Amino acid sequence: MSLPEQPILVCTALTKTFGNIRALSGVDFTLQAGEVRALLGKNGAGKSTLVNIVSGSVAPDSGTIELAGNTVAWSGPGAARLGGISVVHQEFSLVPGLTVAENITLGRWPSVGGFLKSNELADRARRAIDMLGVNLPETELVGNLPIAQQQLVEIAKALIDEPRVLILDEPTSALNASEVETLIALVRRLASQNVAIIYVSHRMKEIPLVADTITVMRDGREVRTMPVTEATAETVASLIAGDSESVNISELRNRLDAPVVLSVSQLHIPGTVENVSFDLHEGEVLGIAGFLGSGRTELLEAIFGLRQDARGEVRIGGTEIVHRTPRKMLNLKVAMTSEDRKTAGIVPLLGIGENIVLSARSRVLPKGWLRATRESVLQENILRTLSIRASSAVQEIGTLSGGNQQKGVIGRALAADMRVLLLDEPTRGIDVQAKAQIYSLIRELALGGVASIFVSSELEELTQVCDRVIIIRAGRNREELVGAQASADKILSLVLKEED
Amino acid sequence: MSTTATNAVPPLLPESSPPTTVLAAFRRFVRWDGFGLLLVFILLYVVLSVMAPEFLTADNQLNILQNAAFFGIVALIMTLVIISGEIDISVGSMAALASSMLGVAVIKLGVPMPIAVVIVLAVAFAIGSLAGFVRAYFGVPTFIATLALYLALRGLAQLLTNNFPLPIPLNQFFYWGSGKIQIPVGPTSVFNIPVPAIYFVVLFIIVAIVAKKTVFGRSIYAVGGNIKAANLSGINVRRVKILVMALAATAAAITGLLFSAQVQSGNSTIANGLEFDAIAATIIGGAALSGGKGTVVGTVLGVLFIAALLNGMVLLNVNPYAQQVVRGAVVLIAVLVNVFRTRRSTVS
Repeated sequence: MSLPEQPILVCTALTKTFGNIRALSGVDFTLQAGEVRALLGKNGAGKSTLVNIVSGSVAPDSGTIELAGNTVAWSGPGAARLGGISVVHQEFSLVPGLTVAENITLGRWPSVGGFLKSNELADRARRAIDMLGVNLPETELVGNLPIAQQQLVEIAKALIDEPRVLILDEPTSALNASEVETLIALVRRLASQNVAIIYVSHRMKEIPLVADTITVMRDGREVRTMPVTEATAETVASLIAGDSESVNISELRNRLDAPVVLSVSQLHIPGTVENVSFDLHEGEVLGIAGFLGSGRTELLEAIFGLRQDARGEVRIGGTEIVHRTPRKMLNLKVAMTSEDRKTAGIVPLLGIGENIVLSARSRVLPKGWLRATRESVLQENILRTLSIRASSAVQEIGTLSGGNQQKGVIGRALAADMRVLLLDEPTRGIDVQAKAQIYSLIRELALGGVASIFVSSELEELTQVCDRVIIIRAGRNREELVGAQASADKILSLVLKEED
Repeated sequence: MSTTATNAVPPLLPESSPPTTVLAAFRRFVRWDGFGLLLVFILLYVVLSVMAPEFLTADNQLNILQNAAFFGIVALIMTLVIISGEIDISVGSMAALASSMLGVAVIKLGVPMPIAVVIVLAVAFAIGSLAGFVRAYFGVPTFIATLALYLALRGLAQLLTNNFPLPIPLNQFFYWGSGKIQIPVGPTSVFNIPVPAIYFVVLFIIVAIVAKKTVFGRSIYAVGGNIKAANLSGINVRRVKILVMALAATAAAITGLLFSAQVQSGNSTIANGLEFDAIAATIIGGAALSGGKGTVVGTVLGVLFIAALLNGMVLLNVNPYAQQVVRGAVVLIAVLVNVFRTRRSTVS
């Protein structure tokens, strides 16, 4: 590969802080035309922030971006697109009711006097599709296409402005093996047409096939950039994980001798979870590790009765529970907190206190009448136990910090006297101090016999909270690490391991 | 081939060729969303013509068309409103206000009829824009904004007329709104084509073209289907919403004027329940209230279905209160059919 002398993209000393979290500190990033750069790092390593700054959705606090020698300051993603930097996000931004060609040219429809110039529109769309070298049914509605083809439409859409830099964010997360091959061929083809590509992915196996160079990020910094030929799986994994954080695992103990409260066997969810089995013991915190899209959330949802398509056995205290519904599971003292706190966790306009007693009312108020004093005693108790910072129990929960909201969500399970907690990313988007409080809260509950399943993308916290961690990969639970075995390095290398 | 040397990569996905054979075209037709409705529609016609012999006569069919036109004109634009993810429940009141304004302008103020019509339509356009504006800029749901208008506009109409009809004794006006065009078919018989039906057909063609072939029309689908994507790709989301609501109010005003012509007065009591028939026809036609989905052709089928059903029930002397129950049930069933269809297609 012969690289031109002038790099197409030069980022210098990019820095960005959100609140008191430093998402990016002094990152330099250089990209040549026609180069495919894999961007690697754990969740929270700063990849997304870098991508968002380069593509104009986030403005940096300091630092500069040069595109083809000119310093640029994007006013928004639209400006970046016109300027030559397009992003294909992990979530699709397609309109199901429009055709493939209309989606590809969305917002750039050629027209005379308000009427579409259908031929020119089709030509433009075809040009983008031709760049990809694939066949797409241009007149079909996007909603009727399979996911893999929708992904291709999404990429074609990014090509319509003839970008010089194309960013692909986890482009293969929804694709199967043969579709991934297609995508890799197509990325190489774009690179041969001199498009520079930033390729963000968690799937280590595809990196050597698709990338020329890799950049590893950790804690908001660029750790290392090197040709992909020099990067072995081991070095990359250790670069991603960094020095092993000093984790206090001494207090973690093995609770495998306690009675089993929840038992899952051969759980299968079409499309995500192949076959997962495990036991959860009383007072145990069981971590589940696996990358986004590995079926972690779906697993919890299946246990909690939110997925009717799940097959397999779920036993509570030895009794098999069929036809699970959230209501039934709550009656069995099993609660779930959603990773999507804002939309599925809290009722933002109700007070923190009222949010806490939401599922406890039938217990506190047996006859259906609100009993203000009893209820407020319970509310105050929980606010105090969890040290939730609110001006009073009636402060709207939506106005509290993320950490206090999350405590409120867990407090709801406590108020209803739950015995099993299914926690999906309980510390997402909350600050470090609040995270630590959530950890100790879960540990304290465990001492009282409450069993938890803890799903997290942050491997360090799994090592801090969990007695045992199981690793889910390709839809199955693969390995299990007990107590001190569960170091962040070890978990990561298992998560990254490829099945053959 | 030589010019595309760098592009000479073999196709990576199997080509899905468009249907060329008659059989494939037929399959496509069967797969079409409106196919089920078409079957039910035909079934309704068969049942009604067996039970009520006068149902299938030319005069009765033209009568159906006349009634269909009144709410059909609103339903056509309502389709655009619903595809954009909004709703307008104030169309009945808007029609009443339009009629009342016309009466006051022509009879009390002596404004010439053509000018009065233009004024009425302009006011309706402005009122609709207002609903769209509070939606687009302040996030007030159109259900609420038009619920307010539902009350306010009817009240305004009653204020203007004191709730008494203002007679408009103009024959020409009657003709434009409610007359018939006679088309001879054979030596003795003529078809009396109702004038409103012609408006309906013309508007159908216009709206169908707008929906399929214009930037505005496709933007409506984009805004209703994925507002974030539409916004990010530079579509003026606010303008689309405002314009759609303005057009709905204007269509309602046109229907109000047609009603005025029919009853030859400016009248504040007309068009009660217009919103129901217009929304019901749209839903029966397959549009999704969540936005992004719906066709103008489907709505026309829905309009004809409702008009035929109402006509049939009258011919069969169905108790008027029972008719209401049937209308309600039909809408519920239509929505359920839509829900199940969407569910099936997302599972597969």
